[in-house]
Amino acid sequence: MIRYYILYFILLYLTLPFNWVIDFIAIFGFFIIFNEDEHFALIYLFFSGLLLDLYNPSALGKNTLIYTLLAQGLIYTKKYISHNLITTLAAFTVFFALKTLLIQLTHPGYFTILQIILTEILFIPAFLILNRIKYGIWMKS
Amino acid sequence: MRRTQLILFAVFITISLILFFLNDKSALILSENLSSILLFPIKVTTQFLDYLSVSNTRIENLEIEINQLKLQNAQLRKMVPSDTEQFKAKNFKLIKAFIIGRDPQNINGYLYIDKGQTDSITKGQPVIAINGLVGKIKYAGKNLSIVETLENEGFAISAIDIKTGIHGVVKQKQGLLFDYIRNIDTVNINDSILTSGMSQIFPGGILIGKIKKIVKTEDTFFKKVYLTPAVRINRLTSVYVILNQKKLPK
Repeated sequence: MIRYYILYFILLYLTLPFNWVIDFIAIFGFFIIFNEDEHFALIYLFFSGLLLDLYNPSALGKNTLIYTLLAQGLIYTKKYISHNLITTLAAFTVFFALKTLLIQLTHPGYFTILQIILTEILFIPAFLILNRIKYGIWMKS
Repeated sequence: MRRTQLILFAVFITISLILFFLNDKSALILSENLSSILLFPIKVTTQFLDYLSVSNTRIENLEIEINQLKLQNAQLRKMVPSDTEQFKAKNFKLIKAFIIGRDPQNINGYLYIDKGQTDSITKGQPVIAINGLVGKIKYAGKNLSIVETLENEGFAISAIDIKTGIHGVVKQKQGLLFDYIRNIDTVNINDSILTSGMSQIFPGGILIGKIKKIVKTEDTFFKKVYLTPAVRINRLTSVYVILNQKKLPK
C-alpha cells in the first residue's frame, strides 16, 4: 500500500509543472478518492491543493480549500456511484466542473478551455492506466 | 462520516481558511518558507534541466554572439547609459521603491520592496539602483514585491564587456562570475561589464560591475572572470523599478 502512496506523490510532483495544461492532479485525486483509504485521500487532496497554491502563488489557501471540500463531498457520495466507464466519466465531469467553477469564482481566468478539454479527453486513459497499475485490470466492475 | 475523518476534514478546512484570509505580507512570507521545503524537488529538477539546456546550447549561442560582436559593440558604445539619471533621461519609466525587508535565509538574494501591482509592477521587470543593476521582480504582490538580486544563486543575465565587446553570462557562482569567456578572448581588469540588451527582461547598458579577477582554469574552453558588483546590495535602502523597457514617446 505504501508503495502506491509514494507513487501518487511522485506522480503529483512530476505533473505539477504541467498542471496548467492538463489537470492531472484532479484526475489523480479522483482516482485516489475512489480507490484508496479515505484518510489518505483527504490528506493527498489537501497536500495537492497546497502545492498548487505554492506553485502559482496568487491566493494562498484557495486550492487547498476547494480540494478539501470537493474531496470530502466525493468521499461522502462515492458509495452511490457505480463502477463503470460512463458513470465514472460522468462523476469526474461533475467533480471537475465544480472544481473549475469554484476556482473560476475565486480567481477568474485561471482556467483555459484547452485545459478543460484536454483533461476531459485524457481522463479515461489515465484512469484506466492507474487501474492497470494498481489492480492489474483496466477497469474494476 | 467517521470521527477521525471528520476531525481531519475540520483541521484541513481550518488551515485552508487561515491561509485564505492571511494578509498579503504574511501569505508571502509563509509561501516563501513553505515553497523552499515543499517545492524543493521541483526546484532541483528545473535547475538541472536548465543547466543541461544551457550546456547544450552555450557554445552555439556564443558562436552567434561573437559573430554579432563588432556591430553590437559599436551600437552599445553609442547608446549605453550607465546610471539611473541617464535612464531617466532616456525616457524609461522608473518608479522608486523602498526596501522593507530581506529574506533572512538569503539576506542579499531577495529584497522585499514597498511597491506592488497597484503601482504597475509586474513579474520580470528590471530593478536598478543609482550605481547599476540590482535584479528583477520575482513576485509582484498587491502592495509589495520580491526582488531577486544578482547575488542570488541561479541568477543569470546576458552581459557584455564594453571595452572589448566580449559577450558572456553574468551569474552568481561563489562570487559574481562573468561566465563563458573563452581562453582566447581578451578581457582586462577593471573593464566595465554591462547588460547586453539581448534578453526580454533587461535593457542594454545597465552597469553590472567591473572585472576584479581573471582565473585560468583546467577548462579547455573557458576561463573564470570575477566581477566586483557595481551595487552593494547590503547597503541599499531604495531601488528603482523599470516599468517599461521600450522608450516612451516624448
